[in-house]
Amino acid sequence: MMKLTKIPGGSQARRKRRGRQWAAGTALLLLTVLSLVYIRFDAAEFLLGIPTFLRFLFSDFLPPDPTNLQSYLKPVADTFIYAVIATFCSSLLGVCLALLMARTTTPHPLVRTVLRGLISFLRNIPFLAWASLLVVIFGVGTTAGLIALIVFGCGFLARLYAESIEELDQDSMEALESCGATYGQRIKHAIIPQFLPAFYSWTLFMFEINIRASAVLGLVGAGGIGALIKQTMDLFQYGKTSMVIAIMVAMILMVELMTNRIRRRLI
Amino acid sequence: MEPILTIQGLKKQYSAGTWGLNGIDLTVQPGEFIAVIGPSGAGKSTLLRCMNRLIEPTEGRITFLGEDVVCANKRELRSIRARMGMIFQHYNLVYRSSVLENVLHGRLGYMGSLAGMLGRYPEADKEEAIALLEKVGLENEVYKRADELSGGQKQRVGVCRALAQKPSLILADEPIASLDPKSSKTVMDAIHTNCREQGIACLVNLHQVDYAKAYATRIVGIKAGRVVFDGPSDQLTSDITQYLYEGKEDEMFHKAAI
Repeated sequence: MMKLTKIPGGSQARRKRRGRQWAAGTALLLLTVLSLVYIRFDAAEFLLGIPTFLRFLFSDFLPPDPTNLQSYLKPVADTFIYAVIATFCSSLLGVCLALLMARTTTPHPLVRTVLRGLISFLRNIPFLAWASLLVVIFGVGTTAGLIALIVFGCGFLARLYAESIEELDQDSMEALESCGATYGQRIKHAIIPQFLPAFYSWTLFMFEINIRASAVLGLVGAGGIGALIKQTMDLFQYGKTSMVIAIMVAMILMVELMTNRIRRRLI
Repeated sequence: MEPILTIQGLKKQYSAGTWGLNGIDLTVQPGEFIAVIGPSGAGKSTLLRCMNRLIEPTEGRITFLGEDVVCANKRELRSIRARMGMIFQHYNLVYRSSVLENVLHGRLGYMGSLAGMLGRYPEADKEEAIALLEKVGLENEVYKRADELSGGQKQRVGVCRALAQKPSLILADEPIASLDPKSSKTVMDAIHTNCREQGIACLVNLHQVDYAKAYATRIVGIKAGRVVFDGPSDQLTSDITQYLYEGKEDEMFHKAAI
């Protein structure tokens, strides 16, 4: 039930809170305006650009040009396969790292601290930055893109998994410890069964992210469907670009539909 | 007869200088059924958890079947724990696993680490686990998931897990504190009958003095981390219980009424 008791000084506190809200709102607005001025945003240019944009959209970009449809098949399949491999590898590595990282399952607090630092470093480098770096190392092609996805996914998943593991009920761990179970046995029989729903959920989520990510990898020369976008645009074949984008959207939607269905089935 | 468990001068200091246990001496003979009673916060749980070192004691000696528990290394401790079953107030089952698997967890302490991880339990262990479940009236729940059971059933699974260890001693920490009176009786009967038949010594922490008197052959009263009574259950007079629960009289029976 709501409490309707009048608290002495309540109206004063409310006025103070409202004042703070106004101040925050004004500051945010001011910041936005200043930023627009700083980047020399020209509203007139934007408005005048709209007709050009629409003309581009409807004459050059649309309709999608399906002439080379067959040659798109391989890059599309590549993108999908990258996501599958990357999700598989990063989830396996992620689980191992998460078990070493989670407060409740770490073999030693020092391991936890070191790994957490390392993982947050890996995770905070955007994956396109990873991809660009790895293209320099491995050359243009699939290897760089795949490794970029795995490295990024690994850091991302390890952190999420570790948090899920820390939230698990510790009672069954205690019970297995009292039976004389070893560390490995406790992890396998007390932690893993409880952790599975969160594992499925985060892994499927990672797969969706990986599909999107692997689609843009081509922009930095790391293979897949993104390479097609870049190629066709460089040749001013915008009709083909829109075809590739349409395929990409269809693929992402299909994957989302699929993961949602799997999620419902499993959890 | 050689005692199976001896505790000498056991102390446990929690941080901030508070003493959970303040010098406990206790000897357990084979096959004894001992109830440990006392108000909440007296140190009953701490005492039980020090015996298998789920909590590390600060001072004192614990000897179990001639082995030093406090100084035991990892491997020795594992073997000691395997021979000491434990039953918990909140059952502490793995709820997403089957009832049978939960009982088989009791065998992990005797298995190689890898075989245990892979769940390669010997056929004989599985048959025995099922027999144990049949004995406590859970023959129809063997393959159900543990979270499908009622509280009383869950605790009977907990009892079976402890019995599956074929222990010499069972430590039961408030096994019926979360149960209704009817389930409480079923669970206490299951513990009592099995311990008596198989000659397992048992230490049960109990809130309820009436249950303690009904089942135990010997009662140990604990107050503020010290043993204030230790004797046959018929010697526990109301004067002593009153002293034991001084200021916390309402705790003596209220749990049984829930």
